[in-house]
Amino acid sequence: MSSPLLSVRGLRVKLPTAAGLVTVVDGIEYDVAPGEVFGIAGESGSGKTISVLTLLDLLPDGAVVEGRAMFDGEDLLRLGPRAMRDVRGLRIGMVFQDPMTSLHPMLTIGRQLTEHVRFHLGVGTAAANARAVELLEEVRIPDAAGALTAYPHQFSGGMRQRIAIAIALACNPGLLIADEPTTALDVTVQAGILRLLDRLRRQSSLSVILITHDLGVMSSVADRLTVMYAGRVVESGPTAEVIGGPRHPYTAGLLAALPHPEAAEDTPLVSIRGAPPSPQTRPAGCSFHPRCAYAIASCATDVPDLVGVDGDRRLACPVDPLRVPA
Amino acid sequence: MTSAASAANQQLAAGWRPRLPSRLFLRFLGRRLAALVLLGLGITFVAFVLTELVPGDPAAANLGQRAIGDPEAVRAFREHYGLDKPLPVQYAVYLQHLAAGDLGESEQSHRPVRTDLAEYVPATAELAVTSILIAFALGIALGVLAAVRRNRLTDQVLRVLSLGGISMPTFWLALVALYVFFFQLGWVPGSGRLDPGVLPAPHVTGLYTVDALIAGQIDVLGNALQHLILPACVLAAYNVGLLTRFVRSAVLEVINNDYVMAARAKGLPERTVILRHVLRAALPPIITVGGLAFANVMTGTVLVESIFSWPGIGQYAFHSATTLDLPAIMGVSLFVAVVYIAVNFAVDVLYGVVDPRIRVA
Amino acid sequence: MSAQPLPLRWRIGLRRRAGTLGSAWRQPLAIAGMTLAAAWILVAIFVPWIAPYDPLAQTSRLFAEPSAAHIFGTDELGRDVLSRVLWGSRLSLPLAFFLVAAALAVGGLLGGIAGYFGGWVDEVVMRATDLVFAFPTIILAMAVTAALGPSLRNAVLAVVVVFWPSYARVVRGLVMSLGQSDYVNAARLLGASSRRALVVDVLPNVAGPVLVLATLDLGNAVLLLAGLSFLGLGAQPPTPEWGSMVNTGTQYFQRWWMGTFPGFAILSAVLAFNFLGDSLRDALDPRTSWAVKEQPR
Repeated sequence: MSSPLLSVRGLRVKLPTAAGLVTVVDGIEYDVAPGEVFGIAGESGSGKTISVLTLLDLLPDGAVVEGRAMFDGEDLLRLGPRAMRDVRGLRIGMVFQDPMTSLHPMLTIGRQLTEHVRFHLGVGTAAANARAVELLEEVRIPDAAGALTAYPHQFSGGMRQRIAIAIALACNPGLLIADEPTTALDVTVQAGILRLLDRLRRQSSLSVILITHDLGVMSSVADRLTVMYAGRVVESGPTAEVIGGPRHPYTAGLLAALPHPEAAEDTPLVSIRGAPPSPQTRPAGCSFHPRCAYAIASCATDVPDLVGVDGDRRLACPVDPLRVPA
Repeated sequence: MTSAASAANQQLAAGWRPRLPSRLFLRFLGRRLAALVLLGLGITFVAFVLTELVPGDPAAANLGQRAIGDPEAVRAFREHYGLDKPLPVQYAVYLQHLAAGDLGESEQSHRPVRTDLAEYVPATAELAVTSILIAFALGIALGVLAAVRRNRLTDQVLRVLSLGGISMPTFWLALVALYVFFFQLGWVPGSGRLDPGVLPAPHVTGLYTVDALIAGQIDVLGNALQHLILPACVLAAYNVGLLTRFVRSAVLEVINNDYVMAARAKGLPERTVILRHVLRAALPPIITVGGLAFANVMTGTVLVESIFSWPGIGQYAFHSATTLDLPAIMGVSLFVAVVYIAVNFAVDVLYGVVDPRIRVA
Repeated sequence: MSAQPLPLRWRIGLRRRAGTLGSAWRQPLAIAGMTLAAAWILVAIFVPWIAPYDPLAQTSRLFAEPSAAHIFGTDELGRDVLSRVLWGSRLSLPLAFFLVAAALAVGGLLGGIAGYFGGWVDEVVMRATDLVFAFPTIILAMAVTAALGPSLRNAVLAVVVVFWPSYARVVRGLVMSLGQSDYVNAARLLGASSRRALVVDVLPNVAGPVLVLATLDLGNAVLLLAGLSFLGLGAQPPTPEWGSMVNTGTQYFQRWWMGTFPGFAILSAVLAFNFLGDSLRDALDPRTSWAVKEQPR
């Protein structure tokens, strides 16, 4: 791509546990272009949340981080606390998974919308409140002015997530990180949130990193995606191509596991045999090989490299069993 | 439009729940108030039972030396308190007297207990309020510190210190503090609320510091504060230990919540995150300790006021205990219990003020 | 089926608790507490052989400052303060244990009954606890002791009256929540009688918090008893009780040794029990513990 907004290389994160340091993210890399929605797909335990928390230095004490994350010419992983503060909320915004717990229960919506705006941009109360009303209208909260003095518990889950999105975008950041933004919401509400995200990014050339385990969500909004398993990237590329024609056995397994609404009644549900490993018990070689139908002897010893195949796609599987012959 | 989309639109049109006019919260408070009145009644029953338990003739106990030689006084006493009637009637008479504010007469001072209390309450009020303020300020600061530095040296030291605070016999601490800071170092005066030559400011509240402030008599204010500081700190020791532990666990409960990480993700300075986000969320349980802290201070005043020659109801209770002045003992107990109930009620109200979810729940 | 197997949850719970309790004993605070408590218990047992003088023996050496002959000095009647302090342990410690045991028995029984049967039984017990809690502790204890007559026996009774409601509340809460818990119901479904369910499933879970409360209450019992004696309502002279000794000490303020050492004895005994109780509480609730290492997220 021309000039990526965010460029992550060799990101490795180890977290402290009672039994010592455990590698949760094991060397991932990706680029996010300006104005695109970039998806990170994976199950719990794949390290996807930790990998984005690392970008904003929101990890617990004692975490060890390696690699580079170039954002706007700066390496996010090398910034000191002061500099990091100027990135968080101002240049990168974040929306968390559970809107029932990510808003402070005892502060008004207005306060939560304006406190960082006033801190980062130095604007006065009146200006900040006006901006807050604008934002709430942008995310379609009824009676935006009244909402300023209301508390989160007065709103439904879907509305709280809209408010959270408004908070994340209040200072006009260039990048929005959305960690499973619809997972905790009803299916009927999910569509609204996704449409909102799509509209917002088209309006303002905002880039979005969208994390989700739901490939259905991914396919409806993400331009490009990367699939993570056990702390590593296994496949990445344009969404339509990856979902239309997965090349990694794990991606294929994920897609096959999605129940199809128009399948015949007695079609059995497909699942990938085995279970994803915890960070402490990852197998040697390719982490997926114990569950893979196509594994060969070298899969148990050699960690596969992420290599380019076919244009913008990348794949971490030397076997490449699902390749469609040209 | 698909059915899912139209459902979503419906939800949007429905709007969000406006803040109700606190009707539910007021109902809750009303229920609490009724329960407290019942509790007050129960307390009078306890006090009544205790007075009945006293071995011997209550007339003799109350009238003391005079009773021995004066059958008329004895008869009048028995009639006044209905001692010839059956127990339930005696209780009714007792309640009647209480309702009229009659708490009996002190054997020592030979004045109505009510008068004694009125004279001594302001001194204790001043001491108690100061002590609680000191305890909360120190306790919250140390508790937050311990929580933020969890499991490190600061935390462990604070743990031992807080355990020390709640293990100390308050009367012993008073003695040692007085010996060291007054007798040996001479930093603070040794007794009373003011130096012997100093007159208190014109009576408004009975609290010498507040009255001096109102009257603008800064020198009296300074003197009163000098006398106040040591007893207030001694009384605060137990509560500081208690609060440090309590605040620490309250903060730890909150500090790993998502909204704290979300606040950091907005780029707010850590100090703001701790003070505005963490502490605010931890405040409701901390407030509920307020009632307990008050009870601890009351306990402390009984043990400690006499050591500092502080003319409050604690000293009154102490002297009543040592001289077995039963009407005074019962009167003080009732009074303190009633105030305690009122304090607990105030804490309930405050809880609702601090946590907006409670008001509507 | 012959013998019922132990519910799986209880077996797992016991092992987990044994594990955490095991690590609790290794914490420095628990060790300090145990050492201190053991020291005092040993003193209480062996005091006739340890104490240099008869605690009641009056001599002519009044108000002697601490010296080689009298390490803690002598009091207003020439009695050796050190001996009196050591003998005081024979009073305070056994009484504290007895007090807590009695309060636990009474409170635990009433609370268990209230929780198990519910209904009006529960109401009555709860109102009774409310009444006791409505008074600050020493106020009620003071009133009860004064009404019954100042003596050590009545002071003990007063403290039991003031302490039992805490146990009643804790036991009641636990019994109520466990009575509805899934594995008790499962055990019942499997055919175990409800009495057996109570003993085998409920008791081990109740024991933990109650044990913490009891250990901490040992310290509170010593404090309250000393406080009552300080007020002249508990132990009467010439009994060598720590609280009444401090009382005498306040009257002879300049003879600092008379009040300081007995008070220090109180402090150290209470500290020991509080250290122990705190370590126990840590072992049972690692979330907010002061000692257990950070868990990975």
